[in-house]
This record gives sequence, structure tokens and C-alpha cells, in this order.
Amino acid sequence: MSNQKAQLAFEILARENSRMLTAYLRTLVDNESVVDDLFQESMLVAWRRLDECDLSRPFGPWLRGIAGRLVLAHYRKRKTSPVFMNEALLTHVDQQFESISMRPGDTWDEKVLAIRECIAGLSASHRAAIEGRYFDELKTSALAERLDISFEACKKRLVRARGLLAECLARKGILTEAGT
Amino acid sequence: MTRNEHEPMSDWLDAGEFSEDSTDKPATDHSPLTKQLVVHGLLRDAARHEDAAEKKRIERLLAEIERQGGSNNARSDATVSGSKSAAGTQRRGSRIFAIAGSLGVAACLLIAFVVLRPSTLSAAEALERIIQSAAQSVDRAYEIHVLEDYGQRRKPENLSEQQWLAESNENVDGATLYVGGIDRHVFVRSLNDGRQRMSGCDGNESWAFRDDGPVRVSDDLTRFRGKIPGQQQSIAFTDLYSQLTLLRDGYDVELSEDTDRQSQIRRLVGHRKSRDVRGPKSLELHFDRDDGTIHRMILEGLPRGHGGPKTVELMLVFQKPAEEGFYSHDFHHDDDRKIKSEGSQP
Repeated sequence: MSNQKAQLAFEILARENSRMLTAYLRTLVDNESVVDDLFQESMLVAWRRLDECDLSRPFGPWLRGIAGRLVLAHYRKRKTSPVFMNEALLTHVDQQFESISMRPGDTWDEKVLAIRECIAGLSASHRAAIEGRYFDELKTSALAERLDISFEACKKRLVRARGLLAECLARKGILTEAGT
Repeated sequence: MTRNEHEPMSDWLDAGEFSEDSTDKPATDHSPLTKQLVVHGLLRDAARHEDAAEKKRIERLLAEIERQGGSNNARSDATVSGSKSAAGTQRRGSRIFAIAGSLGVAACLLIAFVVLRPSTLSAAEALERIIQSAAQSVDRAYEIHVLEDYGQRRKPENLSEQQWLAESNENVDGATLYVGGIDRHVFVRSLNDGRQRMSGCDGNESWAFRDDGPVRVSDDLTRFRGKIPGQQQSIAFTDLYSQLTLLRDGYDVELSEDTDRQSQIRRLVGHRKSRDVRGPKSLELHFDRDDGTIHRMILEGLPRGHGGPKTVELMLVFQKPAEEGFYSHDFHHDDDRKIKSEGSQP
């Protein structure tokens, strides 16, 4: 493949997978500027190693493999890491993302549209917790104050709400039981 | 998942804390942890996603590849840990381009100022000409393009979850707005599921319906303006005449200098005078210098409000007399469609 063709092919693959990669990095890293840096770095490594990629197979898992290694390297450099962040967890996260990628829909947003229905289906208290934490971007302390509950109760409510969303997404076939 | 297992995850996701002791025993059952984490990621992504930011990411990447000579072998020996932050490199590159670009713009402005004659048409005169043109019962169609999107859509408190989901389903990008003078318009947009939603006003009543739903009509002429870019900011261009008059007091307007004196199209730029003025931060009107017809409008910095578009462009796609009754709802649906009347809003 000529370099020009390779560049064009890569641009198509990058555009097709950019939403997925951003969501994947947002899953594993909390800081948006780090997400941004890791996005660029993952894509550039993929570009440099394109010759090693088997283009007859899906590009997404290969790209996530690169991104996952960069995420682990990022935490190693910081010398602090969430205790559960390891290769085994990344494998399970990758399986869930692969499950989402297989869903019907032309774009990433179409594939994960069901999450809004699942939010709508939550009880008022759980929905308020999710909306406050994610869509209003409140810190847990501020959210606890808004909901008039203790900090610890707020954390538990968020865990429970995410668990309910996971169940809903599994029922809709978005998340898989693989990796249990 | 036991309490001990989900606690570190919760500490990290919700309290911003994580163990510095890597000797802690990792969880053995990954499934609940994985699902918590993936749901967290999907929620963060849904809340933070912005199309414009995503486009910029790709543009930066492609620029970086281009900067490296476009060769994927050139730096194939670079290791992951040793590679420089691409974003950092790109930011430095962007600054250089920005400075060079600014100098270029400054040079152009200087040339324009020295060489070109100042306009004989004042901004105030231009605005009046545009307003008079909008008052005429001339039928025009504009296509709407979303140039920049906030992406992060929040449910307004006054909407139920069901209403919010229905509204989120609407797609303004690619919509068509037909206007025919004061209080006459038809707005057509598609829904994400492929159906279509129409709303309009014939000067006597406003109306709205979906492909498969009843027609709702109201004698409140502003009743169904929702989702028209700028509506929530009181600059709804469905009624060009009355809305453009708001520019007289709420905006500082200036006519940009001619860069092409042969061109029939002139550009009026308006900047909101203060935050107290409800409306986009700035706007551009590209109009015919003789008859004031708006050919292109750009509304920039629409208040975040419900999320959605940040910058939209309305392009004139045609100007020709509409068929009789075009602005009434019954022109657009079968006779047997159910009609539901709604009273004026309190």
C-alpha cells in the first residue's frame, strides 16, 4: 500500500473509531486532558504500527489494546494506580466494548443510545444521583448536599444506580455477561 | 460484589481517591467492577461528548501525522513510554500557526483599510434595509447547519423524562426553515429514528405534528417554536421582522469592510451588548446590499440552556413564491389527520 493510500485508510479508521476510543479512555482515566493526550498517543502509535495490524480483522480491539497499554503506562508513571487497574480488568472492559461495537447502528452514539432510556427508567432518587454526578458534573460532596444525604450514602447510591444501569444495559444486550 | 470489593472502585470513581499501595489484593471477580467502570465511562462520555471537540481531536491527529511527513515508518522505532506527548507538540505547533495566522490577518486588515474605500452604507442603514426586506411577504427557504454543538444535553426541569427523550430525538442539523414574512413560517426537521417533525405558523395559528401523530394547533403563535435555533434566546428567526428589530437595541452592529467591491453580498456583524441581552453572543448576516435579503446567517455562542447547538448557520437555498396555503398545517398532511387544539399559554 502506498503511503498516501495508507494515510487515507488510516484516516477512515481513525474517524470510525474515534468516538469508541474516547469513550474507552474516559472509562479508564478520569482527567480529560489525560484522555486527550492518550487519545493522540494511541492513534499515533497505531499509525506508526499500521503495518503490524491485520486489516482483515476489526481495527477497534487492536486500537484498544494499544490504548490500554498506554493507560497502564500512564498509571505506572504516576506511581499511583487504582488497585483494580490491571491487564485482567482491561481484558474484561475490552470485551464489553467489543459487545457494544457489535450492536446495530452506524455510529457509536447509536449503539449506546439505550443508556438514555435506562436512565429514564431509574427511580427518581437514583436518576437524580446519576444526573447530578455526570450531567451536572457535581462532585460527590456537592451531590450529597443537593440530595440531602451523607457522603457515604451518596457513594452507595451512585454504586447502586450504576449497577441498575448495568442490569438495564445487559437486558438490552448492550453489555455482556462475558468475563463474569 | 462484596462491600470490600466495590469500595476501592467507588473511592476512585466518586471520591477521586485511589490506593497508592499496589500490594492491595486485586479483586478476583471482575464482572461487577467491569460493569461499574464501563457504565461510568459511558455516562462520562454521554455527558462530556462534544462533536466539535471530537472533530478537533481528529484534526490535531491528522495534522500531527502530516507534520511527521505522513510516513508511518518514519518513527516506527519510537517506544510508547519514550514518545513525546503528541498533544503537547501539537499545542506548540498550533501556537506557531496561530501567531502566523494572526499576522496574516493583521496584514490583510491593514491592506483593506489602506487600499479599499470605506463603505458608503452605514451599519444602521444596512440593518434597516435587512429589516424592511424581512417584513415583505417574500417566501424564502433556509437550510440549517449545526457548525458547533455543545453535545452535552441536560434535561430541563420543566420537561418530563419522556418529553426530554422525545426532544433529544430531534435533529436540527439539515433542517429546513421556510419563512414568508411576518408570522409565517414552516420548520421541517428529521428525527433520529427517521421520522419527520414539522411545525409552523400561518399568521393566525401555530401548529406542530410528527409523521404519525396528531396535529396540535394553538392560537399562541409562539407555541411550537421549540428546537428552532435561537428560539430560547428570543432571536427566533422564524419571524425575521420582529426578531431582527431586537438587534437595534441589544447588539452592537457593524458593517464589515468590503473585501470585494464587486460582490453584491455584504456582511453585518453583531455582538451582544451585555449578558442581560438574551440571545447568541454574536451573529453574522450576509445580505444583499440592494434589497437586504439575508443569504446566510451565523448565530454563534447560543446560550447553553438545554445543550444542543452552539453555533448554527442558516443558508438561503431558494427564494420563490410558495403555493397557496403552504404555511397552514393542512397543506402538509392528509385530511383525516386528528387535530388537537391547545389554548393560549398562560
